[in-house]
Amino acid sequence: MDVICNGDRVSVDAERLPEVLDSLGFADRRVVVAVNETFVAKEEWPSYRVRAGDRLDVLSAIEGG
Amino acid sequence: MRVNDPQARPVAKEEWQLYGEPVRSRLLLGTARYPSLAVMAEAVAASGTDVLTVGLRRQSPEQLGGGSIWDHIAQLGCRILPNTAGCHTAREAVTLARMSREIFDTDWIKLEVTGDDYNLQPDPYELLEATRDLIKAGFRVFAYTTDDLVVCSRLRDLGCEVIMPWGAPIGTGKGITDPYALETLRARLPDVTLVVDAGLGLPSHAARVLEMGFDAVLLNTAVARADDPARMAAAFGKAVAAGRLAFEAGAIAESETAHPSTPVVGTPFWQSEKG
Repeated sequence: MDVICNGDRVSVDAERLPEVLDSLGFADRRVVVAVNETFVAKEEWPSYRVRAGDRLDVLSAIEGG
Repeated sequence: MRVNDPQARPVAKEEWQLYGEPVRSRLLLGTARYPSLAVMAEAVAASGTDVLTVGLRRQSPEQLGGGSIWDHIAQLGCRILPNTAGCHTAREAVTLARMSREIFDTDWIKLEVTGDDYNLQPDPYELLEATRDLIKAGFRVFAYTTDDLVVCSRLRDLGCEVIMPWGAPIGTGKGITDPYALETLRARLPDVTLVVDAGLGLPSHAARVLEMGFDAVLLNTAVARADDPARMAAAFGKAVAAGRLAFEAGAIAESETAHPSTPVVGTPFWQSEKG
């Protein structure tokens, strides 16, 4: 299915969030996730199912002022 | 100099508190816009700061491949203050704050909600809404705002203990553009921790802010974009310490007329009668 990850349309073969993130290359990365602009806490990842067309924001730490 | 070595700090500092957490330096420092991470680390050490601001952004897996900035910042031994830079609505800011709390493991949040992209002026309406929601959710909010007294008062009423009025728009280096507004804030909100955030360009700007009785300053660009960020960071560290010391010492009142410093009694060559 197609989802939008960080603004780009991508195709993924998984539904569960941890597997979706793995397939997008974020395995073992220190990231946090929002789906459709709603925060998904890490403890919710295993049971969270991504649907076609969902918009994922996968964020990580960056320098800031 | 070892990072965050208390013995290496530029000047002696007394301890104060942010949301009950002890800090020593009255300089809070940003981590952006340095020429390199190594230079940033040098500047942090030279400044003596205890608190560093950071952000959250979309990054590709490739960008994360070499280890994130988090790895570098975590080694500096400072408390982390994540920001919500780039958010334009309360909803966005609250979501980003929740994400920051998970990744940085802190309930501190520097709340920024931009209302005007030209001068990055905070949106007071969205800021107040986000502050209310975040405090309800257990966050310790550091609210970045303009110097508007009513907005700052409302933030205080919501339970915001650290309010951060701007000196001037972010990155301008103009210093304090409206000293009257800041003086009014300090006088009217004597029990609130007030940190002047943004717009400072020189250590003298920071010293003046502390002399006025503000609790601290937060800055980034003035250090990061200086020709020598570490030396400028040291200068700001000394400036805030000097400013605070001067505030505690109590400055003299201004006078419209001159008063001789040297005693006039015994002035040589003076005669009561010319003879």
